[in-house]
Parts: sequence; C-alpha cells; structure tokens
Amino acid sequence: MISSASDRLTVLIADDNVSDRMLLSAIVSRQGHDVLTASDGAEAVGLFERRRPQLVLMDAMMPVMDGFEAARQIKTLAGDALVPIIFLTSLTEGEDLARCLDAGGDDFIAKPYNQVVLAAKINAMNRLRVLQETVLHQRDLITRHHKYLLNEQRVAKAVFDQIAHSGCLRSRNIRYLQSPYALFNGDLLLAAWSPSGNMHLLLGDFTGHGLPAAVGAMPLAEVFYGMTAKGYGLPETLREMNAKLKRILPVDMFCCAALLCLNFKQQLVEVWNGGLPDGYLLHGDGRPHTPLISSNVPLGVLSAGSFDDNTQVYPFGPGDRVFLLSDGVVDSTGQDGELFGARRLQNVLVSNRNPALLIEEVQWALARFRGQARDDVSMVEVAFAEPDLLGPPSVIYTDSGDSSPLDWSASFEYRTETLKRFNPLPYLLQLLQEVHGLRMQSSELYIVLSELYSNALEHGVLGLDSALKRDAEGFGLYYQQRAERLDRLEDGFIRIDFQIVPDGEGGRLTVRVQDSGAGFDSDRVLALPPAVTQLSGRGLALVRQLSDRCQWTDDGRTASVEFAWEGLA
Amino acid sequence: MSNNPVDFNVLSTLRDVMEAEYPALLKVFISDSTLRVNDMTLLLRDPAFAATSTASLQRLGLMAHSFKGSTGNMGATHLSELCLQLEEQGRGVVTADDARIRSLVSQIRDEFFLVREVFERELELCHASH
Repeated sequence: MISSASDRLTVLIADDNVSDRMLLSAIVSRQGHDVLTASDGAEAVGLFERRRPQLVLMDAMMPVMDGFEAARQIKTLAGDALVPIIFLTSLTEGEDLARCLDAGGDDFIAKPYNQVVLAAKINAMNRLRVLQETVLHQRDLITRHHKYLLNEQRVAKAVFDQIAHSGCLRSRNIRYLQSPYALFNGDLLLAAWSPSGNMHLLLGDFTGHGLPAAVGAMPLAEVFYGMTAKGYGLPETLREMNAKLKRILPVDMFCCAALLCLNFKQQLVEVWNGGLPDGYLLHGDGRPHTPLISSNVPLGVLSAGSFDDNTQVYPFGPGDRVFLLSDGVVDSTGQDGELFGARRLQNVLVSNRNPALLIEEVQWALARFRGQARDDVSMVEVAFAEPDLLGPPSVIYTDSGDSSPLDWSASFEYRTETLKRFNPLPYLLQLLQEVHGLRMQSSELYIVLSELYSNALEHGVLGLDSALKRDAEGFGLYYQQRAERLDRLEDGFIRIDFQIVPDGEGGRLTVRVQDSGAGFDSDRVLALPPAVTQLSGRGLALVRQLSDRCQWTDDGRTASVEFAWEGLA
Repeated sequence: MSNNPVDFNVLSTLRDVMEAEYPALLKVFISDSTLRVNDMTLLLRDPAFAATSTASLQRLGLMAHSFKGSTGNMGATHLSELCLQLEEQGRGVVTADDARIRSLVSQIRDEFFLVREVFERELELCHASH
C-alpha cells in the first residue's frame, strides 16, 4: 500500500547534542509526525532497523559512529525504497557538504533551524519518497503482470500450435516458415487431406499479431479440418468459415486468408484469396509466374448473403509450385521506413533457381533489406507431387461393422436451386461410409463420385465443353463459363441412385448418376487413350481406373459404376 | 550585531515551538553546555594538549563545532560566533595558534556565563508565571 504525501511520517532524528535533539523533536512533532531519537550514528542505524522510519534527520558530526557512516548503512538497509536523509549541519565547507551527498544524503538543513524551511524540506523529501514508492509499486506490478502474461501466452501457444500446425503440414511437398513478431506467430497455417486425396491448405492472417490475433484460429481451424475431412469443397468451407468468423469476431477483427485445394490426380489447383498479398503460382517450365491476386474480401467481414466464394482454378502439374505469404513479409520496413514491397519479392521469385531454397532466399532478401518486421511473418510453398508419393493416411475405424447395412437402395434428385448452392457429396459419402466393406475404398469412391457429379453438372446440366480445358487460357474460360451458366440455370437436375447388395461374404455397390443434359458420346470419349499430358479427359479415365466397372447409357446421360468388396477377415 | 548575549526573537520562537517543554529545554541546554565548557577548559589544561598536535586540534574542533550548533539554535549568537572561530582553529581552516586558542576558550567561557544568566532568568520567569 502506498502512503500519501500528507501522511503522518515516522521521522528519525540523530544528533549527539541533547538540546538540539530536543528542539528538533519539538519542531517535527508540531508538524504532525512521530519522532524517534538517537544520540549517535550506531544508535540511529539500530533504530532504523527496528522501526523503519520513513525519513531521517542526521547530524554529521557524532561520536561512536558519525552521520556519514550511519547514512551509508541506512541507505543499504533501505534497499530500493527511498528513505530520504536530511543532514543537519552547520558545516560550511563545500567539501564537507559533498561528503554528505557521497554518503547518500538527499538534502541539508543548516543550524540554527528555521521551522518553515525544515517543514518545506520534509514535505519535499516526502513527495520524492512517495514518488519512488509509487514507481517501485508499479514496477512490481508490471513485473507480476508480465510474468502472468508470458505464462498465459506460453499456455496459449502450446494449445495454438496443436491446432494451427497440425494436419498434414509435414508432407514432403510443403515448405513453410513462420517467424513470430512477439512470443508466437498468430498466423494460421493449416493443411489437411480431403477424402478424395486432395490437399487443402489455408494461410490465415488475423488482424493484429500474436495471441489476440490467434483467438479466431481455433474456430477457423475446426471448420477447416472438419469440412475438409468430410469432403466439402472450397466454396462450402469458405462460406462456413466466413459465417463463423462473422458471427464470433468483433467488427474490427477479420482474417485475411488464402485457401488452396491441390488436386494432384487431376493436376489442378483451386485458389481463393481474400485479403492476403498476391500469392504466386510458379511454373516448373519457365513460364512467368502467375499471380494469385486477392479478389475477395477477407473472412469474417461480409454477411453470408454478400460473401463471394468464387474460386480460380489453374492447371497444376509436375514442377509447379504455389507460394503464399502473409503481409508481414511485404510490410517489413527498412531503416528509412520504406516497405519491402511486392516488387522486391517478385525479384526474388524470378531469380530463384533452386526451388528448395525459395523461402530462404526471401529471408535473405529481407535481411539484406534490414527489414524490421512489424507483424508475424509467414511463408508457405507447396509443390506438385505425384499423388501416390504422398497419399493421405488411411483412416482407422473403431467400430466393428456388425451393424453395417448390406441390402438397400436410395435415390436422390437435386434440382436447379440446389445445384446452384449445395454440394451433396459429403453427405452421400457419409452415407456410404456406413457400409463397412466400402471404407477401404472410400478415397476411390469419393473421387469417382465427385467426378461423376461434376461431369453431370458441368457437361450434362451446364453443357460445358471439356475440350476448352486444353490449355491454361481455356481453363480460365471454362471456369468462368461454369460460374455464369450455373448462375443463369433455370431448369436441370442430377439424379443419383445407390444400390447395395450382399454378394457372398462381401457385397456390391452400384451408383447411377443421371443428368438433365443433352448427353454425350461416351464411347468416343472412353476410346481415347488416357490423356496424361492433356488437361481434359482426366476425369473419365480416373473413373474407369478406380471403379470395378463403369458404363454409360447410349444417350450418354446416365453413368453407372460398380464397386465390389470381399468379405472382411 | 546585538549587544545582548541572547537574541530575544529566537527566544520567543523557542517558547512557541517548545510550549510546555520550554523550561526543560533551557535546563537541558544549561547543564549540557556547562559540561561542554568545562570539557574545553580541561582539554586546554591537559599537559598533552598542543596546538601542533592534529589529534588535539581535531578534538577541540569537534567540541567547538557541536557547541556552535546548539548555541546557534538557542539564539546565543555571539557565543556561536566564538565557537565558529575556535572550530576554524581546530579544523585547520586557519593556522592554529596556541595563544589565540586559549584566548578564544576563555572568551567562550565568559560569554557562556552571560548566556547562562539570561536563561536562568528565563527559567525564573517561567516558574513565576505558573
């Protein structure tokens, strides 16, 4: 507790001269203070130890122990606290006055005493004392708070790291660097496999940095992992993340983010960038890099109705890489306050020769620039990899399979308004997961289902020509047309039938997907050799490769595929 | 400088500050000072005392210093000044001179008797007023 400047003080008076002591005691008492008296230095030190007076009036010349030595000892005993010592002196020599200061004296008062001057000096010294006490109190308070905060941050960091850096970030095709502005980096970097073997990756940068910026991370990570695992695509995941953040974050807080879906089997990358600096699609064949420009508002700003979940799709093949970064990189400031900026970053990207060193080269460039980070700095680079080299970890199920349904069928029909905004695949896959025997091939099942569904939607219902996807330019056009036609769609449906029948110890699933489109010449398409270098046609080849049997009706409007399984050991 | 051994303005301040303790302060001063003056006189009579001995001078200087303080506080202005001159001899501020030292001590002794008379009269007045 801090005493106020007007408090009653305990004042120690040390003077060997009995009449002076008596006089001074009377003056100090009349000013409202309690007085302790000592007749020599040793007695003064002893009294100080026992009674801890707040202020000392000390005669310089005293027998046994003089005032200088007593002052030194009292200052040592007082430690950090300020115990003002006013020397009582009729010393006139400058040298002697200097000795008083050297010994720790804070002021002098000359004999004969002037009451008014003495009162003023006691008050002035007491103000200093209270000030020092306040400073010490606040210092201790700050130290305590600091320790407390550090501890909180450590705990938070441990939890945060579990959430924000788990998933499949350790995959061989991902390189990343996260350097914190403070104790820990509040940027979010998440990666996870979808059931179909696509890799989803999110780099998120919340408003601010460190712990406060990380509070939104948990709900965001939860949505990301949950929806990716269930097989939702980017648009659904984005909508859900946006809605969740919009609901829980204060208005001045949001999350700049880029979300990728890397489809290694079909060699595509789907990108959504809301508010992060331009990312880059770096091509292995020497073509200039493609900027992945932010064309969306960050997550957590717009209401569900006005949120834009449109993604860009690019070819993504061997040698290609995607580079994403948080604005901590480009916003690092040099010594003259200049920003590192996108141009310097692009120079590094262009001059990069060894892809494995890209992130290091950006770091070196930042170091040469003597960039002073003002925010958490995050960079991530994800490279194309042959799907069988990575592969999502197989899922382990804990239930016995005894309750598995083995003889049933179901039909679903999705009509216009549903086709525009709903992705039925996660639900359908979940349904099929109930069949124990299908779980071993759930990844294949998912790929085939999503392929048939998107074929039915894009080529059937929307009548898009897959030949467009021959080159990168056509690719963009294709996805632009897809969005436009879906938006304008007035009439259409996709029907999906499942039939599960037991077969000996195992069973068989037949999936039929029918659409309202004009149909296509399946014989011609399937007769084409698997196009490895061409971007179109990969889908049907995959379906043929992954399912046990597949066929199209003559009008090309209905696809039928079969998955069979043996009895489980 | 006043011809009075004691500054009466100081005395009236002391009376205000000390209130009921005023007579006690006077008594303490008289007895303490009597001892100090005797000590000084005895020091000079000591055969070992010499104006050339640093130890002797230092001791005398401290005595004078201390006495200077209390006499100053009590308003014995002239006595306090004599003490200062003696202190300066003892502390080597001026070149110590044996005859000067003995003369100063003798003057201090005489002046103290005058001061003591004033204070004793004060004491009597105090008693009378009670």
